[in-house]
Amino acid sequence: MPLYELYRMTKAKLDSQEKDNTYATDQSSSPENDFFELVWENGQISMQGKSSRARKSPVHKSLPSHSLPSHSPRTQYKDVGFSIDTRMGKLGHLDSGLNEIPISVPSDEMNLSQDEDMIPWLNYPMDDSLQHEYSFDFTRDVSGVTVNEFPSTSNNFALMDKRSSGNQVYKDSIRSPVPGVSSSEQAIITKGSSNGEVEPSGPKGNNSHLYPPSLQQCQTSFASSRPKISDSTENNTSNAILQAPCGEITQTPSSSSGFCSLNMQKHDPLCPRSSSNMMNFSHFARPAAIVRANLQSISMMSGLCSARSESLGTRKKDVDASSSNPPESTLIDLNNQKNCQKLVIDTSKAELKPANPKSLGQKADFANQFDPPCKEDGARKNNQISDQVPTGSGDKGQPAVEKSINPEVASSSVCSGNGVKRGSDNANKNLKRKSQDTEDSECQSEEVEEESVGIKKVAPARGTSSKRSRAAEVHNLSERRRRDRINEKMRALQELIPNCNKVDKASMLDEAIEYLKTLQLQVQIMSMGAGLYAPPNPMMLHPGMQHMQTPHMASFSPIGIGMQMGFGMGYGMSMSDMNSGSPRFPMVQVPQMQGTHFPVLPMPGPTAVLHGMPRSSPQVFGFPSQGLYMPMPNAPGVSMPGGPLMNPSSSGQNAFGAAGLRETVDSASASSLKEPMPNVNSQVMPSTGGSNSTVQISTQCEAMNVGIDQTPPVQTSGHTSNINDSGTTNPGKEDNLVIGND
Amino acid sequence: MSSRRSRSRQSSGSRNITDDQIHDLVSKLQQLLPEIRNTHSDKVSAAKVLQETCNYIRSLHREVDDLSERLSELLATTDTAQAAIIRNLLMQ
Repeated sequence: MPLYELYRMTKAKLDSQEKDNTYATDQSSSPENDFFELVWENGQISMQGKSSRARKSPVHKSLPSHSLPSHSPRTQYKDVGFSIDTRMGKLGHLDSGLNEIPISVPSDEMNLSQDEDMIPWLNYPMDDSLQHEYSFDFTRDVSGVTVNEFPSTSNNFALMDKRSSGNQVYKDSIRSPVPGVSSSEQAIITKGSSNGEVEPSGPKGNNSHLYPPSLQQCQTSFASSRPKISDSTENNTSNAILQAPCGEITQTPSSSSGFCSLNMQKHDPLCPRSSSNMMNFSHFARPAAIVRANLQSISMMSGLCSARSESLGTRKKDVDASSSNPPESTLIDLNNQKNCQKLVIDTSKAELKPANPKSLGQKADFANQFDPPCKEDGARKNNQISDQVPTGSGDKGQPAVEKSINPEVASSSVCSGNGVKRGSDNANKNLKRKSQDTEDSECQSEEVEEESVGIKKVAPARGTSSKRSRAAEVHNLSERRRRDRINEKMRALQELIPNCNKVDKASMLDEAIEYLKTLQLQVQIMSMGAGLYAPPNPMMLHPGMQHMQTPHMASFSPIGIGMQMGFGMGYGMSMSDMNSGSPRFPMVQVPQMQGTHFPVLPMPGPTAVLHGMPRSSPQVFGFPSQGLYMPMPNAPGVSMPGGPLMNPSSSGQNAFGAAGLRETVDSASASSLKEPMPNVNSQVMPSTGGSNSTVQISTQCEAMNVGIDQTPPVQTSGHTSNINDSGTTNPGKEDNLVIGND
Repeated sequence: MSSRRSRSRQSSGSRNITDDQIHDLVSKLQQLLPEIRNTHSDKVSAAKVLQETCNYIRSLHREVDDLSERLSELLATTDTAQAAIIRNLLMQ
């Protein structure tokens, strides 16, 4: 309570200052009034010792305003407040009402007018309201660290919010008297005129009009705005109203540090029921982290909504639901925007439940109210979303600043404020840019989420329940983001894999694995072929192949390399192929296989090669997934290496000689030289039974042999070595090789 | 609420199975990627594996294109007799 009294004192001072200002500038036009109000804010800010709003002050100070009516109404307001609500009887209510009233007038004009000139200034009030959400969250977190500064800022924001809300209310009230006005411009004019009229007529009159609606709050405004939803301006107003309550709500927690009671009272006029909730929340809110703040805001909103709904009726429920969405805090809103609002809200509520039982009950009610109305009000939602979206865009708009600052909660609040400003601008221009905003929201929502998550993480955990709920929410968000990322990659992968119609992840991955293997094999073979034809180009070898080969190469003596590798590779290939039935990366298996299977190899090697080449190429390229990928010219290109490979391989085996199979090899090679096709085939067919797998194996084996033969160190130039081998063993082959080389 | 929760629990249960499968597949996929083949599977997220897979497939496509181009060039320049033999082999 002492805090409350202090608050009142400061307010009284501010009021006096305001009055002075207002008196000086009474003559100014209605738009000026708006400026004046800003000045008034500055005064408060100065009182509170904050300089954050300084920039605004210079512009607006000179401007006069309606503040007079607003101020004068204060005293009157008290009466009104009393008359309206018994609860209002509290002085705090009066103060709050006063704050709201002055603010309300300018903001209304600002919003309604939407004049380009006005926009910059208008943005500020809007920003404030928006900032409330952000500032609210941030201040919460920071409250422990820098209580003084932030509370003050929050107060300012709160005031701003109040003003905006008041403005909105005011608008509504004005509207009601002037039902005939349908267009925003007319509404603005009427407002201006009404404002002017109201001032001279008497503060009481204004109060009577303004306050009752204001006290009943958005109810009337909603009621009036709802039917007129068709009007863009009205939508804006409704949005503003929504934001305004949010701002107020947010204020309570922020100001709760010092002025919990005041805030509570302030809320009371708006929502009598909510006040009780508010109290609980305020207590909770203090320690609570951002999530908490959000929860509180929601709960507050829920309280407000419930009160409204009860008083207003079912139709208002929809409005309330719509209104409640915005206040729920950027995090939830963003989530909602991106994904299903319902789900997010539900989850958040579910998480919140453990935290605050009372709030839960109301929330549950809210949720019930929420979802159906939200669904029903598609247009409404869009509007709101667009409004909120700008905030997100605003955040993104200054990504560098915010991101860098994010870790620092204190600074983050400021940044968010900036971002909010931009968002407010967007909101003002909302009607024109709705579509764009929605698009932006889609794109940016994710980043915003991330930012929010980061902020959450940064925020210190106070209270086990809040910690738990927040952790759950963070986990939810991170999990969802992870899934989104994976799904995105999956889609990219699906595009890369030809003829992949699989829908589920598992088959997608299977397909990807198979396709990857196929591609690797293909590249391997092709690189070998290319290496054969153009030995000086080691670069063509696939990096994977080189990687695999080099270690093995090192261990072998240059003499034995060709043979061992050839056998080892060949066998490894064959084994792998046989086992899996699909092409594999053969290289890995080489080392184990070589020793044991030496004798076996010679037979299949050459024979299979000769026989298999024709088939191997089709198989290699014939993979269903690859089918489209390879153009026709490739087939011959790939098969080509096989031809030359055959010779070198056979020669290499001839060179091996030691195996004792040399004769067969020689015969095979000789036959191949003279009449490669028929003889080889005849021999091969019976011996190996030439399955595709063997064919491939043989081709690769040969290729390996060639490569190995060439290079003791790096197998770069298979050419010369092959020639040498063939020269030694088989003169006839040399010709072939030469020809091939040429 | 409760029904929804239970439903989500069930779905999560069934999803865990597929998660395991997917995890296996992803680790299998990882073994095919030279970039991250040697890194511990636990330290690589599925998203990264998939990203690497996409990159790798693209690089392989490029490589195959280059190689096929080269081979076709080589084939074009090779001796006609040799080409004829190969063609015959292919025809079979």
